[in-house]
Amino acid sequence: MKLLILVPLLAACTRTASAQDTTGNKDIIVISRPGMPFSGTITDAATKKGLAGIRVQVPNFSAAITDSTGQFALKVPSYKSTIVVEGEGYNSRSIPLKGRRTVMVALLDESHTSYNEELTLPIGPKSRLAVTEAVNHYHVNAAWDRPMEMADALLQGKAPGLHVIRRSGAQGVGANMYIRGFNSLYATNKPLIVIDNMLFDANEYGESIIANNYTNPMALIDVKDIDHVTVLKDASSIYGTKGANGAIIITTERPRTHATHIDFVLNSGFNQAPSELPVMNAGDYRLYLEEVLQSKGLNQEQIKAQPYMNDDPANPLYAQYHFNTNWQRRVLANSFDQNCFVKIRGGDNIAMYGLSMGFTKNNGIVKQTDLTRYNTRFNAEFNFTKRFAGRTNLSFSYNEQQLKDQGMADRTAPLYLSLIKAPFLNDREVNDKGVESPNLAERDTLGVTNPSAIIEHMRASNKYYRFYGSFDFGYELFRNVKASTLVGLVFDKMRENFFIPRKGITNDTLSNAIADSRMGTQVKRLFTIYNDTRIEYKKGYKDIHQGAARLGMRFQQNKAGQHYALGFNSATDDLTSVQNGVNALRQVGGGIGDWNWLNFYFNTEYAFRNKIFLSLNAAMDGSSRFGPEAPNGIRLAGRRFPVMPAVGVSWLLSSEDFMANVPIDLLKLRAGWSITGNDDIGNYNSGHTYISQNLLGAQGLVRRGLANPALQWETVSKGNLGLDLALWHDRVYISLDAYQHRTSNMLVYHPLAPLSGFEYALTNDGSMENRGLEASVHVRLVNRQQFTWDIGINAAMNKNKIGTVPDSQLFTAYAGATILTAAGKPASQFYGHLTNGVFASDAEAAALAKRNPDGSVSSFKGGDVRFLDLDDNKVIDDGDRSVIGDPNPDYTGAFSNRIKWKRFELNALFTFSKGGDIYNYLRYRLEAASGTGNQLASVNNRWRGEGHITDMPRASWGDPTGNNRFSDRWIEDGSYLRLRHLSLQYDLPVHPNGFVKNFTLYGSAVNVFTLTRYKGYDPEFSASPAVFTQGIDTGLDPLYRTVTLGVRLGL
Amino acid sequence: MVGLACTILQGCNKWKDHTAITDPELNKNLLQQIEEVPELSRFADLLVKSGYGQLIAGSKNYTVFAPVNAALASLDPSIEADTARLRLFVGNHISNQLFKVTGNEPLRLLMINNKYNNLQGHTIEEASITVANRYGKNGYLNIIDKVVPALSNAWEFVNKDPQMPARQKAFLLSQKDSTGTNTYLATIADLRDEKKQYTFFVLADTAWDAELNNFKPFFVLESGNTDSTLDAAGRAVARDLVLDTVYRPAFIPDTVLSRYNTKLGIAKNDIAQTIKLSNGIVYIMRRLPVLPKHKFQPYVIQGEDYQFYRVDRRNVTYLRDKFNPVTGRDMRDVLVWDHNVAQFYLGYHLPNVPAMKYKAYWVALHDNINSNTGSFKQLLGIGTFNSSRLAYTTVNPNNFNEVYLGEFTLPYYNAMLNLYLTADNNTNDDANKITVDYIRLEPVL
Repeated sequence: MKLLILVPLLAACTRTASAQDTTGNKDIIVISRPGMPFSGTITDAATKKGLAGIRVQVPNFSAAITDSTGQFALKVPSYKSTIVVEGEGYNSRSIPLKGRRTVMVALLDESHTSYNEELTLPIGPKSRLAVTEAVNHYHVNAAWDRPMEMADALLQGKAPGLHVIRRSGAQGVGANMYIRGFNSLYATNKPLIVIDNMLFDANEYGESIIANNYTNPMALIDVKDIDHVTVLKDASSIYGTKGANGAIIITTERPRTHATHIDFVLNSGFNQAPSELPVMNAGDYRLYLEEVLQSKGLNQEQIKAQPYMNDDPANPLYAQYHFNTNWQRRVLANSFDQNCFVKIRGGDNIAMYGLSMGFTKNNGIVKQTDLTRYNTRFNAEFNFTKRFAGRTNLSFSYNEQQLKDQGMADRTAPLYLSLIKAPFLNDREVNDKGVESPNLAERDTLGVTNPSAIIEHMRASNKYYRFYGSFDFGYELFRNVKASTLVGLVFDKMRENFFIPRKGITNDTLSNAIADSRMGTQVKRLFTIYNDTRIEYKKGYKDIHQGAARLGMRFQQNKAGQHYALGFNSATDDLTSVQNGVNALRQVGGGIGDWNWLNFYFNTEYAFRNKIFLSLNAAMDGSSRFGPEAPNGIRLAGRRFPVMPAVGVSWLLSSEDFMANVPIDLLKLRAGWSITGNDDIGNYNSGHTYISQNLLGAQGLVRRGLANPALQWETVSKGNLGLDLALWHDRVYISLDAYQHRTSNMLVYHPLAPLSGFEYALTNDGSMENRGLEASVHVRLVNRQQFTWDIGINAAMNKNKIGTVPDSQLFTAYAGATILTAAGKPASQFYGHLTNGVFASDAEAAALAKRNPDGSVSSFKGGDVRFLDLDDNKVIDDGDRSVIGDPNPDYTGAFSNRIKWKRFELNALFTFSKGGDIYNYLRYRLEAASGTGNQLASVNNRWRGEGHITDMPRASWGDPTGNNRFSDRWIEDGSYLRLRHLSLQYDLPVHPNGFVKNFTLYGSAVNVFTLTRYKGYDPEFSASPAVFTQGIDTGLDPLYRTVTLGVRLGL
Repeated sequence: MVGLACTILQGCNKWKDHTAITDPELNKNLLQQIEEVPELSRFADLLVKSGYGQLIAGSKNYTVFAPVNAALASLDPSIEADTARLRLFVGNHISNQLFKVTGNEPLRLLMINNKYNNLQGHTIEEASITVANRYGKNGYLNIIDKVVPALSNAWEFVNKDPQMPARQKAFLLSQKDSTGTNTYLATIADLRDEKKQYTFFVLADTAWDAELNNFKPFFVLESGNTDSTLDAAGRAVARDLVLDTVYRPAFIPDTVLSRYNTKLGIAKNDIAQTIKLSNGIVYIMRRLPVLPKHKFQPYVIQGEDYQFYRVDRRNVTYLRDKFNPVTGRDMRDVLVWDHNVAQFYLGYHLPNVPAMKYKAYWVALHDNINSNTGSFKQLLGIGTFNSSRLAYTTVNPNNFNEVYLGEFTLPYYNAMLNLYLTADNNTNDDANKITVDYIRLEPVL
């Protein structure tokens, strides 16, 4: 035993484990060695009948195949060994003998989630039985029934602790993902994405020039190419300073059998426009408008002179101002999606290949928006010689999008415009007889853009493509020692163009001009070379000791570049490209980012009798981003290299002899501790940098902030305790995890003394903590031959707590909200005023005063909001603010159902989020009652006169009394329960040996219904991945329901 | 899960709950509100009959002052019978906008019949507001105890009211120019303007004739046309009979100043009748004698406001800003120097100059023009540039005082009198300068 304790030798491995990573049609050699006799019976759990042709083996020792009654006999090295049972279409099982001489095993079908599934870890595939880490596995299996999903949104509800928030309903924008909450305030909180062993850069370099658009690199991946996804929540140390937020490891589909298999898929989807927000109708709106104008100071004659106040049908303007337009319907519309996909797999024992091609055209629910994708992928595996193997993953995708502005873009976002646009207007020109012209109406007398002008004439497009490819070669140097190297290349380019015409659209104000038409173009490029080289040593001693060790190096060289040009005021609306703008107003800019990353890593694993598993990972990183005077890490060649270790242990209690007679299939305890880092500290923040500055016409360079040469990575330490339990012949599988993550050296903006000339400097002075619990339960509720029913529930709870930030608290502002981040509290708390209705009369309001910006006070009036005077000084000011909401949900999770009856299969996935608060910015705009824009119908309840008891304040132009200050009026409970996905599929009977191998019809629906009290389009949105913008609904294009019909033909 | 689903399920009606009208009053438009109050049933009938019921049930905001049934009991049935008059009457109780009766500042409120009513405290005109500011869907309802009659404005009074004395009425209606525009309305006071509030004195026929006779001598024409004399005298009388402010009978002082600075002595005994108007008040006066010395004010003609000249010498005409140490004020005068024209002049038009004796004065500043310290002469020509009504007067250096030029008599009324500031009769630049700050003609009465 001592001899076999694994020393970190220069042992190595290859991840060309593909030849072993399936349970498919592999040639089994039945071998027999001296050992103890052992026998048993394998049955089908559904039919209770014996199963023939099932492989039973002790790896590297002996193997057998069951006979027609399901019986087998085998020699085992000892009665403490573990046998592995595998069969086509069945879930693999590992069965510890625990001193028994015979076993009865009932196998479940392969769709059942169990502890035996194979995961893909950073060092390669591994049985879940042996892992020490907190991981989740999602067997995507091409997601045939979810063809329209984006690869990131697909993961929603699939792993407890992986919080997936879809950004909006715009096509292709996908979702923001967080594993176990936030670990950083200013650096990224995105998990590392690894696709086929290569880092997939899903960052956005520079903002879009189309308002609130997000170019999602994950939209370049077709979910039908994905085989499985592993979510690694801790022990991501092996990725060094890129592993702080865990990792999502995506494995694309590869051939499993030598037989040629062709899948041909056609899908057609219907997108249903979301239901409209109840805004005021033309009559109510005019009453409101009149009231606001009066509060603005317009007198009777001036109001009477407004064209829309004229009710005389003989007046030539009458027709133009007497519509009752549902503007939301002019902007939102049902739409259709198309998708087709071909996948061909096959090969022989020298080479196997998988080739796929797809075309997708998804139309948005905002008119004239869409996403068109052309994607190709070529995956192949080669056995060049017996010892030399290779693998390639090449993909190229091209996306083209038609877009519109969305969110906070008051003049150009069609959805927002449709909410505030006066309903008595029409989107076309109208003559005095009421006859509509095909010409679009100009912006109206209230200064609001015609939403139809944006829909029909704003041009905004985004074209992006990515080549993402790698070659991976492995060579078996000696017995037990393998070396491998992976070389990858990423080339990504994105081009955005937009043009906003002047006709019908409100002008914008530049610093030195009025902009009528606006246009822009932007190009971004990313070029990455990636290499991962390692050697692996694997050794086993009988079936008692199993060990492996790997040593490797990763290198990444990145070049990112971005440049844009914005133009204004082209001569006519037909001149749409940026060079047609007025020369003097043109704005050009851009940025470059070059950085390199070097990562040495080491991994060793040891298993004792398949009962006790140990793992040790470590990485050492070098990055061009770290400051030369960073206080931590190892000093090498004048740079600092952080060292990131991770240790893990798991104990299969259920494999111990004393558990032999306990009706528990699996009981496993896991413990892990790791240190990871976050290198997202900016490419150049540790050095002196300069920016250009214009002073009275003279151009020069000025220092851009103070350099901090001690700037370093953030450090996240993670502790995890886990338990896995399987019962009822594997039909119940429970997994629990408890964790604590501590971020130290957290990046913060440290306030500087005024004499420095700068406001802030970036330092590593912050800290925060996350604690949480995760649970998942999978149950095979019914298991009959013709009818099976699986349910799964997973839920996660995360509590965030800020340790230290400068001055122990910091305030940030976004969309009118004030956000508090303070020591001892969760990050990103809504901080504002508490309210209690509206003053019914002037007399009631007189007791309370408000503080004006100049320091004076003035009293409230009837119809003003009754803010709570927390400091009891009879004046409402900043001192009366408190925490009014927390955007972090208490728990999130999902509930899944899978029912199989004969040839039908029904899948339903519910997702839920409980306890997160939302700041409804859209309602803040639509219930402000302080401008001439249309409002929600609830504003009909506005305070009208003395004695009116209501909770909606009076209409007052410009809100002089601050009724709309950030308060709990706008905070809502964002809890929801959603039927996220529902699908029904039917396998048509085909002749077993016919030309058609399978033929399946699909019907599926996404976002079927949502139960929520949230008063917005949808409680799920994500304006940005930043911590400080969580839970703020800026009115992005909402999510919508999609119904898809599809057919898959297998040849 | 179940708990979560339950709490969330309550959210199904979230929008219905959120947008539901919480106060049932907000579901009622003004007409419905009025119809609900039993003591406003008469007014509700009138609203429907006049067609305004539909208006205040629509999508505009109104403030309604609804008189109770008791107040409408004595309504003249002829009003109700005549749709136009009914609309005028009902419309006088409805204002086009939201007006909250606060009991504070007075307000002149425009009603939908385009007349204005005075709102002060809790009264509108004569009526008291018993219930104020009852809100509804589209405005405020106020209940008042009296009707607010739709009165005539001053011009309607002149035209239509039988109480209007004939002589003054005939005069006012006769004041038309060639396009038919009434010049009295156009130039003296627009009596039709509902926004204003006038105090309008109307003279009984005898009083009118007495005043006309009193002022006739000042308007004798050279042509001997007596009609024109009467017309001019009438204008002189009528122009002072309208004031821009309203004086209530109880508060009218014994002397008021007209907009032409004429003192009017008001003897309360002479007020024959007081009639309220929608835009003010009419006093029918038995007599309202005005003294000529109060009526005829001195003429002050600013030198720089010349209207014509002998020949164009604007290149040597100087408008000068100076400080006058005598008055302690800034002044602007005119100087023409180096014009090379014997008896060069600047001319001034003076309209409506009555026949009487005048004293003439000027301020002419000769502040060593062109370093010349010698004095020079200039003439104020009355009627012609070389008129002998006044003599050449010497302008001494640096004299900021008003200089008396003599007196002259105009035997006839001049609809347009020309005045001339004439230079000395030679072409010497130092001697033929002219300068003047102002010319003052003072009636001698």
